[in-house]
Amino acid sequence: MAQTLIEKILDGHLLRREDDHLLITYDHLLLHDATGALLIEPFTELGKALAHPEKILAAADHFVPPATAERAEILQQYLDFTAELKGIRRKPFQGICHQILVEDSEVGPGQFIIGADSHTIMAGALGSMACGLGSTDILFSMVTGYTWLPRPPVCKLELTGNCDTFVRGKDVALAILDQVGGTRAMPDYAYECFDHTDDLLSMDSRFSLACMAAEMGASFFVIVPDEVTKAYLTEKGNSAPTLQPDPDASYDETLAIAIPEHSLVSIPPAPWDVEQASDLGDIVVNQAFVGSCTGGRLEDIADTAAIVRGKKTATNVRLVVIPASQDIYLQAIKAGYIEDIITAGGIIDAPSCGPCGGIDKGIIGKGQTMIATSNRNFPGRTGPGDTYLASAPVVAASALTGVITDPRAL
Amino acid sequence: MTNHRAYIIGDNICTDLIHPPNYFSLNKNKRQKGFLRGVSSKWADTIRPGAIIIGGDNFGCGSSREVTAQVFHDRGVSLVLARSFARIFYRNMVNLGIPVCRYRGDHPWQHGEEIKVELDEETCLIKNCHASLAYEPPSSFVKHLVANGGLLPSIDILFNDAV
Repeated sequence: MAQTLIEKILDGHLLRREDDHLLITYDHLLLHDATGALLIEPFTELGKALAHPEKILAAADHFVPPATAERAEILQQYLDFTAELKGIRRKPFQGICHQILVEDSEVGPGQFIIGADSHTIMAGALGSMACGLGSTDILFSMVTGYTWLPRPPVCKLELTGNCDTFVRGKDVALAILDQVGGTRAMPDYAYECFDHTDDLLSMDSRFSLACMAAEMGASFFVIVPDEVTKAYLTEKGNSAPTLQPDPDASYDETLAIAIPEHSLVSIPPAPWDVEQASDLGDIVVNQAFVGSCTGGRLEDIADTAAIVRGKKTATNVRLVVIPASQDIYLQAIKAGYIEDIITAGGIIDAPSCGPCGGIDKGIIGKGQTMIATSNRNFPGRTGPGDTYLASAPVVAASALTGVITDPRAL
Repeated sequence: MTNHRAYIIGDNICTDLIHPPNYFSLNKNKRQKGFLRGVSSKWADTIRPGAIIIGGDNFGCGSSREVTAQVFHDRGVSLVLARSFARIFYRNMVNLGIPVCRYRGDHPWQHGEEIKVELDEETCLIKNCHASLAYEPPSSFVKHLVANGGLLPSIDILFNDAV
């Protein structure tokens, strides 16, 4: 019987059925300092051994470096805890866990990946099934070697059209959110995404898109591997074969999305309230943030540098740029992007989650407004102010003018 | 079964409202003070054990951080009702053994009302609520987890085949 890619991956990882749910083994399990710290005490109380230490990748990215004494203590407890877990892959301080995961040469298509963070779904851009879970779920999987889930309903999502000079994966995600909103009638809904666009989205744009699927309420967002995926995998030394869906596979639903022709902006208080950047009028910003697992990759930093190069940020606007990983940071330095941004008045911070999550440096205050490449603008998410979400070209253009600006208007 | 105060909140109540990020802590005292503080500081200060929280669609959207579910346990919430829950939040609540239920349609309650809620498993109706209200029965698997007190207490009962 013809199968979707998601069905093939699930079948390849099925341990057994338990009642009306599946027990699924995983290839990688992702931890970070904030949610990882929550499972230290219950892990000790449970007293069970790790099922597969080699599958655990432990990053540290939320409290890096810590902004308060309490967070320094939480971070240290997490570092001490993970140092005791023999055989795991420890990668603290190398960047945001989701970026570290996809940069890992062992991580590739056809895999099943779980992580203690909602944006784990991002790794689906490589043609894998990846999902975020809470700390108890993750602790369960650490000691049993599998997780539980209902069989997800699958939507075939086809992207068509072409990206203009300034349209990125973030705009595609906002176009989808504009259409589907933040939840679907069916819980545990999954997307299988086909890139039929003329020039194909870049991998960086695909990571950004898959990351935002968390805001669509999706359980999984799998981008069917193609030549773009294969080129990315080859460059990082992964030669695993790429699973494909059967051409006549049937889906629970289909959805076609045309690449937007304009840069889009999400209006607070929710990611799915979307307008064209050019339609917004003068919305004054105090901060422009380029960073997070959704918008801190090389493409985003290159876009930012190209727009601010040789210019100055607006008076009283802080342009905060946080590369998603140390590797991206080094590449941005070599390419001259960091110098361009600093010369224009930008602030560069160490690879970490930064203000996204409202937990660290770069959060905004009451009455303040931020335009950001990050993923959420729920009330209180990034501090008490208002956050608008957009692609890096819009954020960089806004940093120059001091109001939310379509880069085409510069 | 005694009456408990109902707290009514709307659609898309995100985890940052349920538990604002600056209350993230390993210290239970600090953590529990953040409970629903993004919705109402007054509620955060005054909600009593036994409270029933009633949301709309997409309750708990946003972050996976499990403190947002733990605080319902910390503060002794007796039941959380919503038309729909965000996926990770729902799992977190089930995993921790906190009673959750998805009602269908529109609920009849007013904020601050003292209510007694009884779930009839046979008819999938919520009783004692002016008129009966239908609810979505949990999956059989989830029922077993809840019956065992959550995911970790179920390990040695349901999952004795670590791989």
